[in-house]
Amino acid sequence: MNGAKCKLFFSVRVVLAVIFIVSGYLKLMEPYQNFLAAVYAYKILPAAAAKAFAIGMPWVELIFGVYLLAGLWTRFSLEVLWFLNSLFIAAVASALFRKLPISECGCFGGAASFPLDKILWLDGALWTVFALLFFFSEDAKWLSLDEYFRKKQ
Amino acid sequence: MVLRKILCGLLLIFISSFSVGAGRAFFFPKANLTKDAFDLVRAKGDPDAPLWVVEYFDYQCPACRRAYFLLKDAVKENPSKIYLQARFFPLVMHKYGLKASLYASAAAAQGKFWSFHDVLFEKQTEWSRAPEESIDTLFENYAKSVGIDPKELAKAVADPGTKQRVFDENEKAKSLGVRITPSFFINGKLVAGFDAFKEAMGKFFTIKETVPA
Repeated sequence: MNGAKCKLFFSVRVVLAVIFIVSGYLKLMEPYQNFLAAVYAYKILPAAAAKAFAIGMPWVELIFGVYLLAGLWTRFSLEVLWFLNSLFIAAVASALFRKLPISECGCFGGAASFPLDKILWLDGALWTVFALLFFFSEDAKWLSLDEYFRKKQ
Repeated sequence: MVLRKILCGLLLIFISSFSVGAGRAFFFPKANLTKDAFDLVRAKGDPDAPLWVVEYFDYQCPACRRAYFLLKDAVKENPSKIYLQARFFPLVMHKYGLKASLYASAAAAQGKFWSFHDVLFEKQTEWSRAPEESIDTLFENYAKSVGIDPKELAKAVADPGTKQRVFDENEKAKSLGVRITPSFFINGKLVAGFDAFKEAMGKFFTIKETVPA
């Protein structure tokens, strides 16, 4: 497992992981109330669920991003992050459809913000990369803890 | 082997949590909210009222306008229950946000902050769309309409000290964790965004939202 294909998918895995780690980390650097305001703006979740989502989601992004980077439970981490990515696409698409006056997507906390139509394209591109990696997840396990433990066994 | 994997997973969670804690402590140290003396002129109500509300706003932000009307009604109906402090947090994305804050700060120096503040929010839709060359005249006319001396006002707006005070207030807000407008501190607890504020205020008062066009 050290061909060019493995190195390519390893790089893709690292890039995806870093995106989620940065996104989660930046949100966690701020009071959760700022992200909660972004969640409220989408008008999807009731108050209690929105609060739980605003507190928990950045940790999910960070921890599963770290797992994906380290290659621990690679496929499961990939599935969790892919699911999150699909949720974001659904939320942004529904906000665009309902013409909600949202100026900030809330994706990277207060540090970086994108208009909704642009972030929909970016999330769509990310979704495709996830799909690709999902089908080649064995190749993406180069330099991973999963591979290390498999060899040890 | 499964146990080792689980231990490895827990270790990664520990490292992630530690790095978040360290990041918060070193890069984003949090200041404490105080009833600052410098903005007493921009305060309303009884300082010993049970509800202490600090609002960080941008005059050009539409959600801040909604919050303004909600707060105005709440203060009017419960004058002894709320102590309100208004603080500037002009955003770069709003062309006239900083300028409006400078004029309001200058109006505060003449003791006319609240009347000028009211005009700015009530006429937000008018001045927000005004061309750049007429914005100063527009603000000066608003100032005149509430009895502010336009010469003194222009002098205060041009004073670098006024800009510095707004800038300092902005920096203080950031150190408190404020990133968006409107943001509030209700009895010291951060509430960000209009929807969360409306919900939080609903716990204390019956809220009716009346926003004129």
